[in-house]
Amino acid sequence: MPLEAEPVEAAAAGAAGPPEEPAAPPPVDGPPVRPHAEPEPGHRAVPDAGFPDAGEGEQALDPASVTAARLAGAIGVTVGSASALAAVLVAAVATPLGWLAAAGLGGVVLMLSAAGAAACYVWPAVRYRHVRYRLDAHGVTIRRGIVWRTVTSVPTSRVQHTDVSRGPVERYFDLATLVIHTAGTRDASVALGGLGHRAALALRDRLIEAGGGRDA
Amino acid sequence: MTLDDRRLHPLSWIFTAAQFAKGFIVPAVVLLVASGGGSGSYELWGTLFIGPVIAAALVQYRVYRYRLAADEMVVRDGILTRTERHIPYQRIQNIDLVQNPLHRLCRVALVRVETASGTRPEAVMRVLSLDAVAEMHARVFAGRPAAADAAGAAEVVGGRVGGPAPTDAAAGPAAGQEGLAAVGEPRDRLLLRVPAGELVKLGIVSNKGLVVVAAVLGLLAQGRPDGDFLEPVLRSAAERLPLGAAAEWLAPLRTANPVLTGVLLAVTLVGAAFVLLRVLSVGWFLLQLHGFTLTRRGSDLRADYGLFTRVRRTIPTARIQSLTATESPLHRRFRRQSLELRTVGGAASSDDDVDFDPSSDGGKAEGRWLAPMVETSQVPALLRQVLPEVDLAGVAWRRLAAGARRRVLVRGLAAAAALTLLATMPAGPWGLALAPPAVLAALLHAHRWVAHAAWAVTAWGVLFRSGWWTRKLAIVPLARIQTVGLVESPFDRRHGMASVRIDTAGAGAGGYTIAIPYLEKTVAAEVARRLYAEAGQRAFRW
Repeated sequence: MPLEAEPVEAAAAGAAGPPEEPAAPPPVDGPPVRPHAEPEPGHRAVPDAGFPDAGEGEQALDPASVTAARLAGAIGVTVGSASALAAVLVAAVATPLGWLAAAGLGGVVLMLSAAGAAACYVWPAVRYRHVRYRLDAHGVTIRRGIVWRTVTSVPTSRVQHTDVSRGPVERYFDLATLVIHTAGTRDASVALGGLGHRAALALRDRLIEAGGGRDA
Repeated sequence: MTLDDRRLHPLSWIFTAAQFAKGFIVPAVVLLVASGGGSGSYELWGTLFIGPVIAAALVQYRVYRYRLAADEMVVRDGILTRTERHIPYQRIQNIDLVQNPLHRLCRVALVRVETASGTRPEAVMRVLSLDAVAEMHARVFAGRPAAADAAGAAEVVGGRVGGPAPTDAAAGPAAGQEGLAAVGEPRDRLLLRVPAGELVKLGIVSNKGLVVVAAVLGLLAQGRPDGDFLEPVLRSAAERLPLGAAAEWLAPLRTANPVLTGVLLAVTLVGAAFVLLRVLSVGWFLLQLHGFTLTRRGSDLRADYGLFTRVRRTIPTARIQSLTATESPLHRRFRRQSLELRTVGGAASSDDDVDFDPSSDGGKAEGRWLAPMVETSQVPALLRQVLPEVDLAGVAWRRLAAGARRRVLVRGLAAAAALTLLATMPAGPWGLALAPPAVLAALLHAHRWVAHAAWAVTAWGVLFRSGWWTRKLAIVPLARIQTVGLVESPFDRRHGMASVRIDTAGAGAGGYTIAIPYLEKTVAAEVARRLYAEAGQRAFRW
């Protein structure tokens, strides 16, 4: 399965390139490991209790989604910086660009990669703390956002159909993305990523079951 | 191939060929004229182009079949790749008819069948005889509950505007449309007719002239791929205009007071351009919306309009997603409003339908009219005719949060500062002269905007009134709400505010149908929760 193999290769590449060391997570040869720096996320108090409607009956995403997002970020940064470095190398060999300038460019690439790696490490945990969802009698409500905070409510009766999609990284961590399609325009599809696979299927079943049987 | 299979009208190949040819006819003609081609080459090129086109049109006529089954329409099409499309009658949003003069001459019509899926019509039938259209109407809309809103029907017909009093429903609107009138049924009830005088007013209040100018420029640009098309046009125009005489006439004035002359000239030119645009706009609407009538038959609305190209849109009222009333200062001067409606299917379709239209955008924009021009006092009655639950009289309007004005003002001042800063780039310190008027404008805007903005959640829907120069009233019935959003920006957070936004189907590219900003956080949360619950309790039917 080439898709399954992808994270392994990428992580290995990340381990090879020096700037990725801090971001390269260690899940390659074992089950997903929760980063030690991160306190038990599921038990953290809802951080934005000031925002109306917070709390009651809300659920957090799967904690593994933090690790998954970090891995995905690491892959992205690795691929990006590797191709940038390759381009610099090619430029150094094939164009009149001097080796000194190439080294400078390479340094810039490495620094940017390091910054990107740091962001990819920190951001998923922050985002994780700010996403909550809740299923109630009327439908599903998704709260998210750190600076601009939005609460999107989709009544069950407005659900047209749903997708549960899983990328390679998500499959490895047993996660899934639930996409809820409505007849709306801007919110024609509302995606909720980082759910556990079981949770996503359960949520989907609840939405379809409640909405099913209705027809024009 | 069952017996029920129908073909298009035998003459349809002419219209199909015309449609095929339309794509390159304008550039081809312009090219021929521009190249001043030798007289002999016309025929050769003509046959070379037209031959295959007609052949393709004939083949298209041979392969296109449709069938009106018990509860669905089946359309079969395709030469190599055959497709068979099943469209259940229940899913059909509307059936639109388009008749240009050639269609009318042949007593046929172009038919568009729209469902809620995507932006393209589900089926475009080019062309059907009027009898076939009547039959299709009868079959498709047979299952509709015609008497569903008998209560609404009992009320006074309030939408009639100005002009001669129309006799009654069945009396077809003005001349030139006997074709479509033949399809109508005697039970139709006229809700609104817009006479020419109203269309002139509509032309005056709107900016459609720009569309006409853009269309003309686009047409000219097709001839010159290098894009340098304006210059010869302007040059020939300049040669013809008596500019020399004008300059001579102005010469003494210019020597006496050059600044005043310049200002006068500029004012005259701008005024002339303005007047020209409005004249074009009036012409556009007289052409496009000639004889606009809105009739109601059972639970369907029907809009007929157009001078040369007649259009008939059939809109089931159950398909209306939202309503908008617009009122510019000129509207207010005439005591009129323009009403638009949004449906799912119709909004975005029409690049290929209105065959002799000066602009390809024509049908798209005009298709949203509920009433292009209606007396302000008649608006509530007309809306109640369209959607019986809409009762504007009993609405308890609510204001935005107390701090809203200050926030609008801060925004305005920021914009004013940016503008002033930009102005100082080329103008130096003189740019600062812009600051006082800009600040005044920001003050005025904040005051007026907040004074006019209001919202309401009633037992049947959500309403939001916004704008103060051009005012808009947006109405979304509760059963049409798709999703409810509650948004808190960093600025909102500092002021304890939030905004509520409501998404509907067919909202178009403009974004959310209703977005109410600057609400107190608790109020916003309460409104969002209530709308979510209310919408959840109502089934959404296509």
